[in-house]
Amino acid sequence: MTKPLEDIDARAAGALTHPLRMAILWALEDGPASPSELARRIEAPLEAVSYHVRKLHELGIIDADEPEVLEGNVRHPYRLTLMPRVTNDVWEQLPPASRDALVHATLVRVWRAAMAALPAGGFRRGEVFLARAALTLDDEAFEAANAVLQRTEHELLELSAQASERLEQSGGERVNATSFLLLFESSDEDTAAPMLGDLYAYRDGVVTDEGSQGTK
Amino acid sequence: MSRPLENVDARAAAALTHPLRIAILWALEDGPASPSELARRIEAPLEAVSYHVRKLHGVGIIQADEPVVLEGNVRHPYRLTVTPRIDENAYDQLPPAGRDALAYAALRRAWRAAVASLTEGGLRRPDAMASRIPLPLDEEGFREASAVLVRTEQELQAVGMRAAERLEAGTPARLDGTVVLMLFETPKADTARVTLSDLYAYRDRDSPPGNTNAGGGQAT
Repeated sequence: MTKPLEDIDARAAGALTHPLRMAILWALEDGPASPSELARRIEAPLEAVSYHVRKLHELGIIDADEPEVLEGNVRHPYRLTLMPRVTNDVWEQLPPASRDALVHATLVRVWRAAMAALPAGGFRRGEVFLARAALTLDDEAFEAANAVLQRTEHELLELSAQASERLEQSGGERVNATSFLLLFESSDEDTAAPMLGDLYAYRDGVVTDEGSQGTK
Repeated sequence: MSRPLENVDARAAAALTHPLRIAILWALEDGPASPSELARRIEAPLEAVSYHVRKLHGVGIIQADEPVVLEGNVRHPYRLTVTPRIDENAYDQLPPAGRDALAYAALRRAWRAAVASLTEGGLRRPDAMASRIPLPLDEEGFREASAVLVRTEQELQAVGMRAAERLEAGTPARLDGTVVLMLFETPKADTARVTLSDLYAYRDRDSPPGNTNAGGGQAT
């Protein structure tokens, strides 16, 4: 059961102020899990995970499933009730350093998802979309571009809801997809220059884990 | 002078059969350049670049500008005649490995641009955006989502045009923005896991934001 997006903005802000909470929410995207399963998965101490799972439960972002007995142990799985989205309001409330950390973590997450998807054929459909465009803007246009992307996000979520309905009613093949929308002020550096090496790298099996770079 | 996109699909597909041609076209998106400038930029041998520039010129995707004499040297710049879009059909014509290679290079490019911006504070604006949207879909939904992104890109171009008009009139301050739009299939969510240390990594890194050596352009 998911709730309307508007309800969760304030709670999402609460959830996202702590990296561990974000890690828990992201891990639960892949399905229900107990605190000890989560702790293993995100490589964090069980005690801290249990504490933040309780907090997220209190905020109503996650739900407790029925306990299961598994090989004599009782397992307490939790599941997402909704996917907290960072809206503009929440974004503005975050201190700049938190914004940077959140964006960086998101980039890492997308990069890993893309690198897992590539060898599995996730980029082979004709309808795959991958565009990067440089835009000459002013302040007004930046805001307008943001509004365009907000609407796109809502439309995509709406399409996903319609697809879920179709799948429930008439079956059919589920297609797990990820969309990523990015809008930022360009760096002055010529960082986006295409390098021939990149185009050969994948063919030659040289793929980097970008997420592990830029850290100590 | 740009031509209708429909005319270039077949030529775009031909151009995309070689990684070096893709690299040349991407480099020219940032403005006219001569073969030797291109060779430096994409880190490829001049001879090969010159050859493929001629080929691209032959299929009409790029055109030769007037030669410029610069410090005694004659420079032969080329420019894009069209923005070569890799549309569904052109993409479908590529062999699967070619699609993967193209996707990988495009991802790396987007990554470098985003990380460079991040370290310079370019993502701190309240109207900046980095939105990852997990989308359970079906076949029909995937096609529809793709169409939404095609339209989104057109709308963003229109936003840019209106800004260009205002900028020409001279009042507002110019801002250079980059937009990245992606939609792909994620068959195995499990392998994309992110650990707690990943989330702390950026906060805890030794170099503060502003240092540009934070994850971007290292060679593979």
